Amino acid sequence: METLGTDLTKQGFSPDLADEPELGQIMISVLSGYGDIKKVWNAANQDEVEDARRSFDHLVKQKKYLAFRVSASGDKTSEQIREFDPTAGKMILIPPVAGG
Amino acid sequence: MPTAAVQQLVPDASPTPTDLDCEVEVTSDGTSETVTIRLTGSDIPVVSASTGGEVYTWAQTQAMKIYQDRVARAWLSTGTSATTIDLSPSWKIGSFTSASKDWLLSDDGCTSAANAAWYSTGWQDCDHAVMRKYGRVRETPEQAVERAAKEELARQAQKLARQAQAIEDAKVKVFTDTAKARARRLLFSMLNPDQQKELDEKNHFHLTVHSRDGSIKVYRIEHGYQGNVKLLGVDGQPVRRYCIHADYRLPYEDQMLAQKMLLEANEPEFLRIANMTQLRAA
Repeated sequence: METLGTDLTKQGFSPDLADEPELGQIMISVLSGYGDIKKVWNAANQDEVEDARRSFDHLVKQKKYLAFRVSASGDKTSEQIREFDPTAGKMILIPPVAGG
Repeated sequence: MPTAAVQQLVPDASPTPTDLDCEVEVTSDGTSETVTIRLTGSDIPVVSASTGGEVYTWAQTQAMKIYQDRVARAWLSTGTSATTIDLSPSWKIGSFTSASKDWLLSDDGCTSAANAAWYSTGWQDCDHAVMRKYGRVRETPEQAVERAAKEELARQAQKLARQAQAIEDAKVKVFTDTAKARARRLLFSMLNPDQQKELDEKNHFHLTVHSRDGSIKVYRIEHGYQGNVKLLGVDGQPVRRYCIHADYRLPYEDQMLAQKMLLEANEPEFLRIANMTQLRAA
């Protein structure tokens, strides 16, 4: 069985990036069989923003991942989002969940 | 006399190979050879009677195995081309008075000739052992060299396969350990200090959720991924258990993070998806 996230690693998602984005970066972190794998884009570059949006839409709208914007306030809470937010900084995506 | 059942066969009296010996005589009429093997010095202790001549005791079966072994050894030592053999005077047990060489040495001889009782008590093993032991008697030196080379190659291949498997196992372990460590680090990064301490010390953490109806609920997320989310009552004891998880193989800490984020960000969605078990009255 292929490890969840293998297709994303082929698209540039990596487990080896820093945990937090630098200022001016968009980071999407996806829970996978590798642990979380991440990819960053330059928020000032429109082409990169669009690329990030495509990745987000592919996972959230097509693959039904759940997306959360991590609070920047440091209170360790998160907010669910359904649309790509280029100002979010870091977004965490989780695979679809089901009742056990 | 009691009837012996296969299941009741017990090692009641085992004959020893030293009890047996064979006399081998090969005669030829110019066109074919006849081999006669006389079993001598044997007095196999038959400790239980057979039933209808079909079911043999463990001791009898052992005796048959030794007979077969001795006969095959004697036969092959003659180098004869004969393909059948007279057993004289006869097998001491059973009713055989002759046997074919193929039957003695073939893979399926014993199973086709023997009944279930023999099979279950190791006759086939004996047959294979005879093949292994005596099959090589007839090898030419070249065949022996070729066989030895093949066996060595097979040993090397097995060794390489074991090494490759060990490397693969080590890779999987590193991969799994790394994924778990990464998941734990991410979960910790999303917990406040109190929750981090709880997780470290108690392997669970509490989560306070401000529900949309204005109430405040306390959940406990325990280490795991299935049925590990508990709603606590005012006494701090679990009232309900929820089962919800990402439908993929993720490290437990990633599953716990998913539960936490969905619960605090969208409790109604969490409750809609999760399977709930009422543990006691609220």
